[in-house]
Amino acid sequence: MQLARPLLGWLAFGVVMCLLPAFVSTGTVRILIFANFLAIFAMSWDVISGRTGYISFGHPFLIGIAAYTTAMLTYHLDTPLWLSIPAGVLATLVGGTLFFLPALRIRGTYFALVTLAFMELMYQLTQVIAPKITGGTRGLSGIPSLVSGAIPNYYLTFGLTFAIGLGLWFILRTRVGAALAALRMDEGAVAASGLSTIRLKLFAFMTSAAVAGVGGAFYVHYLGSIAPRGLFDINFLFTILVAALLGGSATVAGPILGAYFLTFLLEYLRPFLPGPERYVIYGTIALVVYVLEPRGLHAIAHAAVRRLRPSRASAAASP
Amino acid sequence: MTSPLLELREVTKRFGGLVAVDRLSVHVDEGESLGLIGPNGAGKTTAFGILMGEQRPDSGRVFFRGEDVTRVPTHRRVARGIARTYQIPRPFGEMTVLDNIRVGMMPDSVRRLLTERPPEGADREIVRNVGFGEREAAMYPGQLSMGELRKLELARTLATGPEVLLLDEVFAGLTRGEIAQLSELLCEERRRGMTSILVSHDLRSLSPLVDRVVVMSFGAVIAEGGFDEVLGNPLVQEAYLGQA
Repeated sequence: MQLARPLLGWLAFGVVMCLLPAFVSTGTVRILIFANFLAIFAMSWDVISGRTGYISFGHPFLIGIAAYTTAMLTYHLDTPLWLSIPAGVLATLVGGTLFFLPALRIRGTYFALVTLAFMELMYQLTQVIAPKITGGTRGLSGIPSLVSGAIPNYYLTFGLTFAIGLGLWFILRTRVGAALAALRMDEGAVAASGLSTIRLKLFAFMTSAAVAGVGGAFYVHYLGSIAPRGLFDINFLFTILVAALLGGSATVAGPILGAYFLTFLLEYLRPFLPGPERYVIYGTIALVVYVLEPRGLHAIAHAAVRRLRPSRASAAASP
Repeated sequence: MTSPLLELREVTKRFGGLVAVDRLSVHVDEGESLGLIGPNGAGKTTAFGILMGEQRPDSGRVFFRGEDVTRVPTHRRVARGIARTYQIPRPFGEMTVLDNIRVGMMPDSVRRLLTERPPEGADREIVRNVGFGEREAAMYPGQLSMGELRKLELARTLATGPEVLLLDEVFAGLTRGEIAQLSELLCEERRRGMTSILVSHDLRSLSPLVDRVVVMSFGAVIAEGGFDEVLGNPLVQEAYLGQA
């Protein structure tokens, strides 16, 4: 029973999202594709930052390692995608661990700043180190796609979002999820309870990096091009953060919800505010939601469902 | 001759210019209950931090069952059987009492955390042993009194399966009734053969719970022995009351 209700929720989500393209325009489907990618990135960010409290400002760094690896392999060496994408994910795990693992020994603002520096470092490196391979400032274009057309890409990206979401939900509902939550509340008390905080952080980080790597690799093959300014960008970073926080951090459904909400909000604001001033509006909306309910849209949705339930029960009881 | 269960040997710890612990040697034998007392700033909590591996000594060694554990990290010391409570309780605030206790029971293995279910019943047994009912088990730390928070801290510590308990200011902030309740719990643990080191300023409550007392002042031991013996020691009186 404890498992059945959330699984039914996942099933309903899957069915609705699979039927959706039949009822919306191709333009909306294309927006949904970006929402799916944002959901993957936000879920990835949330595993390390929402769960353990280690706020990462360097997620584009992780996404970028996978994206650049697979892009360079396919662009220069004609490596098949079935090989280059796992190679990109592996590169994220290895490269990310080399940089992030020492950083996981520091906490709070320092961790956030160090990871922010990783993103900036990656931005500089892609332009300076071997620009013939990375494409330098202009990046690389003409990167092969996995599938073509809005609908196949939608199903591909939604399939990824769904599989990652469900996988994370299964992982985080085990005792690992509780241990990571405890880590966020009091790391010292976790160690005093006999748990290796380094091992737990490493697990959270590897899971987060793997998801970021998968998202980054598929993202670049969807876009068909890659450039450092687009990827290692502060707006990109904050969109990921806001999606996770707005949706509800330390949950799996929250970042997905936040990603869809934010992507559509930005798109619907575009005709009225074509420039970067859109970010002021979404920042304001995010702030208002966050002040009203710090646990995000996920908690608001939960409260609404709870409010509906007793009324349904009383309606059933009444003649 | 058997070696002590837990021992600090010639341990020194400095914080900048302040010597918090100065060539401190303290031990507790198996099954013994040791009181560690002294005025504020004597270095008792620092000694606990060093015993747990939360602070690394500048010099000296820590031994558990005769084995040097000075460089063993906290979680491994807990696995060996050393566990502590804190002067200011540190519950996991967003978890219920029962879930807090379950953290103490978790195995130190991600694979096992992922695949194994928590042991049935053992968590509720600890809940009952420390005197919580079903209602308290479902409560959050923010809803508990200081006495209940101390019980929760003790419960989570007991959940790690310790051989030696380090209890820091275990009676601080409690009413007489709560002290009596907690003392009864500690007596019960003592009867079961639990080794413990208790730090407390409440000497009256501490005295029936300990076999031996070590008095610290300015990071060093100034007296050691039975309760009445050390309290009659002029050095101890001077440390607590100041020079006349």
